Amino acid sequence: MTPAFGLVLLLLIALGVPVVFALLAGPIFGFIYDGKEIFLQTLPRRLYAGMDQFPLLAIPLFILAGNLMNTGGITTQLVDFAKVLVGHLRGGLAQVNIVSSLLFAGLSGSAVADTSALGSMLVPAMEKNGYTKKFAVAVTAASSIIGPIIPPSIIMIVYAYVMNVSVAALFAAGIVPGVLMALGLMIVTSFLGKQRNFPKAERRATLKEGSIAFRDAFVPLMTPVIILGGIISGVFTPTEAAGSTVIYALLVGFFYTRSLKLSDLPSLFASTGVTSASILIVVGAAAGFGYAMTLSQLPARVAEFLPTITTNLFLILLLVNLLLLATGMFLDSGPAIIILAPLLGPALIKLGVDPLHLAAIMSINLTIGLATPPLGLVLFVGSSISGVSVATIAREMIPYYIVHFAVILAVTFIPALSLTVPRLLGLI
Amino acid sequence: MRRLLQSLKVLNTGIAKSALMASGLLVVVISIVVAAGVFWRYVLNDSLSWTEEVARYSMIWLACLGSLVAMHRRQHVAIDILPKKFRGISGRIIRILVALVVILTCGVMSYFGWLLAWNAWGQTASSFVMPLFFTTAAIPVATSGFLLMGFEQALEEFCSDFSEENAL
Repeated sequence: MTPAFGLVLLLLIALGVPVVFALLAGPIFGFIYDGKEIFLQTLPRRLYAGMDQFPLLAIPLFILAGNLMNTGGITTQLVDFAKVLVGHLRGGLAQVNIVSSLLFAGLSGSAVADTSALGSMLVPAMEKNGYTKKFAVAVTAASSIIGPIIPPSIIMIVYAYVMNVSVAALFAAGIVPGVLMALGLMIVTSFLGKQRNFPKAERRATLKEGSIAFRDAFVPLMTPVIILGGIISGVFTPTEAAGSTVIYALLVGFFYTRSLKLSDLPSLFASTGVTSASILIVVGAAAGFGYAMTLSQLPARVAEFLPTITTNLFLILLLVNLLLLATGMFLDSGPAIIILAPLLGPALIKLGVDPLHLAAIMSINLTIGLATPPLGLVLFVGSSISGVSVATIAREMIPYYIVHFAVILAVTFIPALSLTVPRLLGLI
Repeated sequence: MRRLLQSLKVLNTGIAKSALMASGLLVVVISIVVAAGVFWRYVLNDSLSWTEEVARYSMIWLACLGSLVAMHRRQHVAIDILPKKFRGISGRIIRILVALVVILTCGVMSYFGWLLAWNAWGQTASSFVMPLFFTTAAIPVATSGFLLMGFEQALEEFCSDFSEENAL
């Protein structure tokens, strides 16, 4: 197929055509241009087959579990527990925000869920405590992207499916970078705290308060143990783990926190359905696009072209990171992975990059794009829950962006950061 | 033309409403079926053969019907800088072009999608007797729905154009 189909795809996306239609229109153009209309009939079949995959069931189930936990009042317990841990530091609530994101990341796979859950609770609390609203939203947005880096992660499930990598290994690869991101954000916050004289809690929590908070948070915090323990030990497939998490979230919401009501369920199910569908349909369309990609031999051309720029792998990875970052600024992480991974993956793996390392670089880099202007979903959610404009939040986030970029560079140039845990667990 | 737009709007809102309800139900079905699969396999040590297939087919329908709702709400992932940035006639042309791309793409996908579903009539699912028509039909159902919504979006741009000119 003519490689021009890729250009058509990009052009259509730039024009504002929804990604799912651009992914189908590109190949349709290619087949017609080549005079191979007979191939058009393969596209609906590819779309169908692309979604007819058991591993993808983890996507709606993890989204549902996250929604259930959020409505089930688990956020409150996680935040209380985080307060005991770091509330007494300078800029206490800002630190609590970051630690809560880290804890929440183990329950949910999406940065948007994280921003709306923690933001609607912590932004008003921080404001009351003397922080500016824009800073409160900025911390929430900056730390929410830990969500898809720490497992479970919707974007990693998509990557694993598109590129045929083990979900368990990819989940394990995210742990260290996610924690590193949290630590980095906390260090910057403590600097900002001193500089801007942020408030802190008057006293440290007593041992008794600490143990109560831990007891309350224990049940929700078992979720990541079920998910990771189950998947990594090989007991559960990711889909089964996600299904079990849904049941666990229901039990916790109804019988433990008792904040979940039967009347909440219909709208939760419906919103889960729509959110998952808009991801799944793009994954399905990607199968049609992937087929066209193979026919056009674009990945092979990229593989030939990349070494002609430079043979220095570091430089190539740096360029790839810039490309990912630029793409992530404009495109949601899922669709960006779907387009870029099959295009760049084969070339980079041929140059000697470990497939899992590449998976970690791409997932983390594109996740950061969720919090960058002009089209960061997390910024939009933060803006809609707080009323602060996207541009103001982004400006306030500049110190945190530095952390984000530092983590990308660290993950790119120190493969051990992402590969050690999967190796220790015997997943690679 | 306005009347056509009005009826399209009513039709598409109906489609989106029913699709939303169906998506919610499908999420329930998927959760129950996957959980049942886990329960039978790990607790009762007796794998159910049909759970995986039912869950997959429900997910295909979920993806197709849920994205109809997303389309109706204009929530599909898109870079809408250009359509939003340009005001007046140029913005309108861009939005009409976008709708035309959707219409053409979904026209092709619907035609071949119905063919696919039709050809699957003779094939059945592996763990229970059901023609695969009922699963593959999700694709043309979705793309036909997208097609209708694409027409609505294109017509809307045309009609609002006229009203603005009349106002001037």
